[in-house]
Amino acid sequence: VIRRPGALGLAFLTVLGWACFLGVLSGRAELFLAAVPLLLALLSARLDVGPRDYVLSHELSSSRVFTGDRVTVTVTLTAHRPIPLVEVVEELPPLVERAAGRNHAVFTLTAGQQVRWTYELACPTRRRFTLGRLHLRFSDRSGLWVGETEHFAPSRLLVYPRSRPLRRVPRPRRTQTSSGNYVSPAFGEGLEPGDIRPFVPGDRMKHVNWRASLRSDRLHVTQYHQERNADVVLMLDTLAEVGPAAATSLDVSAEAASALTAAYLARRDRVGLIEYGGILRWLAPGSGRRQYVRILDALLDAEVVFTYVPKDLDLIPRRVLPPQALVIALSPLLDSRFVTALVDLAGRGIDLVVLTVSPTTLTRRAIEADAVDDLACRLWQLERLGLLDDLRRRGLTIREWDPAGPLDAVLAGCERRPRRAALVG
Amino acid sequence: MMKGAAILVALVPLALPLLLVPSWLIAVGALVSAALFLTGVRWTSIPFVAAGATLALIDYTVALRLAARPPDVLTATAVGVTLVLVLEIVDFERRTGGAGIDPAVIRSQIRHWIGLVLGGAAACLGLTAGAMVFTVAVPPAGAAVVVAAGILVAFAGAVWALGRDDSTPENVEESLHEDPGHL
Repeated sequence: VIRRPGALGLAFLTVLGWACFLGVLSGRAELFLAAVPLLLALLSARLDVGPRDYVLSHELSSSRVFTGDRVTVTVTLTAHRPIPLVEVVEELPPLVERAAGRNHAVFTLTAGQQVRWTYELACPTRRRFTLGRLHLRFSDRSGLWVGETEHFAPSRLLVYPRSRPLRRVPRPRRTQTSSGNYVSPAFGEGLEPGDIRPFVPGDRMKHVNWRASLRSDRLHVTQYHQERNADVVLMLDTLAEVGPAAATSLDVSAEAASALTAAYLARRDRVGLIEYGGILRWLAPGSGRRQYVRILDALLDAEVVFTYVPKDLDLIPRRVLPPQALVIALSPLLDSRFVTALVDLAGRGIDLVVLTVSPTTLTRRAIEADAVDDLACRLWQLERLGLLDDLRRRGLTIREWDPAGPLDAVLAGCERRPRRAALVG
Repeated sequence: MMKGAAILVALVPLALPLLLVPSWLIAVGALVSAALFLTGVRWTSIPFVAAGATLALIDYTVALRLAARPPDVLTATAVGVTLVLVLEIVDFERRTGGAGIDPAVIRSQIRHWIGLVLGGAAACLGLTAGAMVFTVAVPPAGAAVVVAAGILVAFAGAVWALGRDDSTPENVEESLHEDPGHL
């Protein structure tokens, strides 16, 4: 608790002193009279302005939201003793914006009175936030003497990257054994008709192809392709990031990862996540709503941890990075260690798609337009195009994404034909 | 709204010296004072408003000297009360600027300011009346004794004010640590 005189007291004293000085100097009683209201105001100051008997609560409308959503904060203050004047300010963490209302309010309360105050916050980027740090300033009506204190009632707010719906996603070249949405070349139970062959004992009657049977005077059956799922591993580059604070390349990549996760899980695929950075973290492929939440939670904590140590892909268990999996790497391709890892993965024959966020676009957003910076960005872009060409020559599928544009448009051009030889499910 | 009210109130101590002595000298002083007031109100800066108030007092003093009239209690009261009011309003705006203000705060604050104005005016008029009674009742020789007594009382008051312990009570801080939610 800090008690201190307000700025007004000093101002009153200054003017009062001048009035007395001028009164003595001029010998006019009017100036002493003019000083009387100032003296009276000074004497009316109350020194016991410290924290009063009160209860303060801080509530959020939701503790889990997606980026861009709004959260309503409700602060309730109940006074057990009269409070002449209290200012309440909530300190907002960086990257949390005030969307509606004010996080600074002034109240006067009688004994037993309760006031409720609400405002809305917008969360433009994925993070774990802790809200509820409130600063209170008690004062008398004049503010000649103030008492300040802090009230911390932590309220956790999880802001997940928003999953924008994707109509088209890169199709895995290899499928797994579980049923899914991809047509496998292997025959079995499915909906997609494949071949016609003569009937053999054990075939089901509903598979008999009557048209072919009538033509050949022999029973024939239609074979169907199996429908299988696939393993998809999202590999997030957490070695480096660029861009404005609320929309770094990592934030944008996390948003893309969230959208891809939702899209693949909706297709009944198993999705896993690898954070390739200073700290190597992973989630084994899984399916269902639970896996979606697990990946979102992991994306929430994804951050760049600086390291000089190159991370070896051999550290990643086989169950996390199955050889049949489709790996989608999300990276600005700024760190050569990540590029090396990608080349390594491609060399192992892993089905790999690189979705690279353009760092030059993000950097341009973070800096002011300047001829020198513009030239530097253009040179950087040229250098980057050279790197991308080199990687393409090595057989990598690379899609460059400008975060200002829709991800769907980038992925739509990523249609790949399945390799027939490798499609045995 | 508060800024507009502050500017309106500030017009009173600026205009009164001009009404006493309508001269260029007073007008220039009032203009400089008005500029300081306006800057202080615009940026809600108490030092600027205090400077404007001081300059307005100087302007008033010059006007009183030039006018050489008998003491005018009402004008002096008006100057003192309005200076207090301007400083109060600007300081309130400074503290609450950008904040959501409960209507009850505005109501209670207006009541407080009305109380200050009435209290200040009553004190001025009371003191004037007391001084008149004192002039009649006390012979001129006793004035020196009263002045000496006044100096002694002021000195004793200053000693008492400096010597009193108004620091933060330890028990309040302890209770904060024990139960931060319930003070």
